[in-house]
Amino acid sequence: MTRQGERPVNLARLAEILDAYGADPRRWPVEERVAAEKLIAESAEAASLRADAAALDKLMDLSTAPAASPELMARVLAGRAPTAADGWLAMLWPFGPVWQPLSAMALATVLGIAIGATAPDIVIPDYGDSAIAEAESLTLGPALNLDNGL
Amino acid sequence: MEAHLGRIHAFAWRMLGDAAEAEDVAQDAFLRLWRQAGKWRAEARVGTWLHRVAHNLCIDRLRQRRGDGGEELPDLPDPSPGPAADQQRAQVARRIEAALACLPERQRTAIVLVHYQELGNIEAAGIMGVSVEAMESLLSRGRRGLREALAGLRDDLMGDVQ
Repeated sequence: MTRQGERPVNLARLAEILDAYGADPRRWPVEERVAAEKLIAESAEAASLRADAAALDKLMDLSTAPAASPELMARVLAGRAPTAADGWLAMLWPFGPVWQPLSAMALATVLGIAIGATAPDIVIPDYGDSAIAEAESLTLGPALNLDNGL
Repeated sequence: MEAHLGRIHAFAWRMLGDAAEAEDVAQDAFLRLWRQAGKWRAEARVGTWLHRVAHNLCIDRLRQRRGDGGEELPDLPDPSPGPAADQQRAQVARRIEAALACLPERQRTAIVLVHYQELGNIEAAGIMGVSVEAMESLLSRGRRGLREALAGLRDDLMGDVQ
C-alpha cells in the first residue's frame, strides 16, 4: 500500500528510473522514491540493477568542474545594478564609492568628540567694562582716538 | 551569491567545455539578474532562473560555434600536472568529459542539470522547456550513450582510480 502522492514501482519501472536518474535516490522522482527503495531492499535483482547504475554514477563523478576564479566574482559584483539604497546614496554622492565620504564624515565626528572630551576647560575671567576700556586706551593710544577728530 | 555563481559557472563549463567562455556566460547571467532585481517576484527561485538564462546563453554559443564551422566539441583542458595518481585521475576525468561532450546537446544538458547540478526532474524539465517524460527520455539516452562510450574502459578505469 502506498501513501497519498506516492506511486507504486515494479521492476520494469525501477529499471527505467535507474536508467534515467542513476542510483542515487535523491535524483529519483519524489513520488516513486519510497516504493523504489523498498523494492531494492526486497529484491536481489533490483539491487543488482541499482549496483550497475551506481558504477556509471561513480565514473561520472570523477569529473569535477573547476572553481570559478576570484576575478569572476569581482567582475560580477562590479556589474551589480544599484539597489534602491545605492540610488539614494548615489544622488547625494555621485563622484564615486559612497563609503569614501561616509568614512571621512565618521572620522571627523570621532575626532571632534575625542578632542571635545579630552581638551581642558577654558575659563574667561570677568574684568568688567572699565578694565577693557583701560586696556584699549593703553593699546591703541590717543592717536587713534577718533573722538578727538585726529 | 558565491554559491550560485559557482554552480552557474560549473554548469556553463560542462556545457561548453571552456573555462573562459563559462566565466563569460556566468557573468552575463548575473548581469541579467541584476537588471531584473527591481521587478523580482518573491516566489521565483534565483537558482532556477539563473540556470535557465545560462542554459539559453550556452545554447546560443554552441549554435554560434556550429554556424562558424567550428567544432561543437569543447577544447578540453589538459590535466593539471601532479603526482601520478592525480594525473591518472585527471586523465580519467578527461575521458568522461569527452564522452559527455560527444552526446547530443539536449541529452548532455539533461545529464548536466540532473546529475551534476542535482536539480529535480521537474525543475530541470522546466529549464529545458520540455515535459518530465521527455526529460526522462533524454536522460536515459544520454546515460546509455555514456555507458557505450565508456564501455570496455569502465572496469579498467575504476580499477585504476580506486
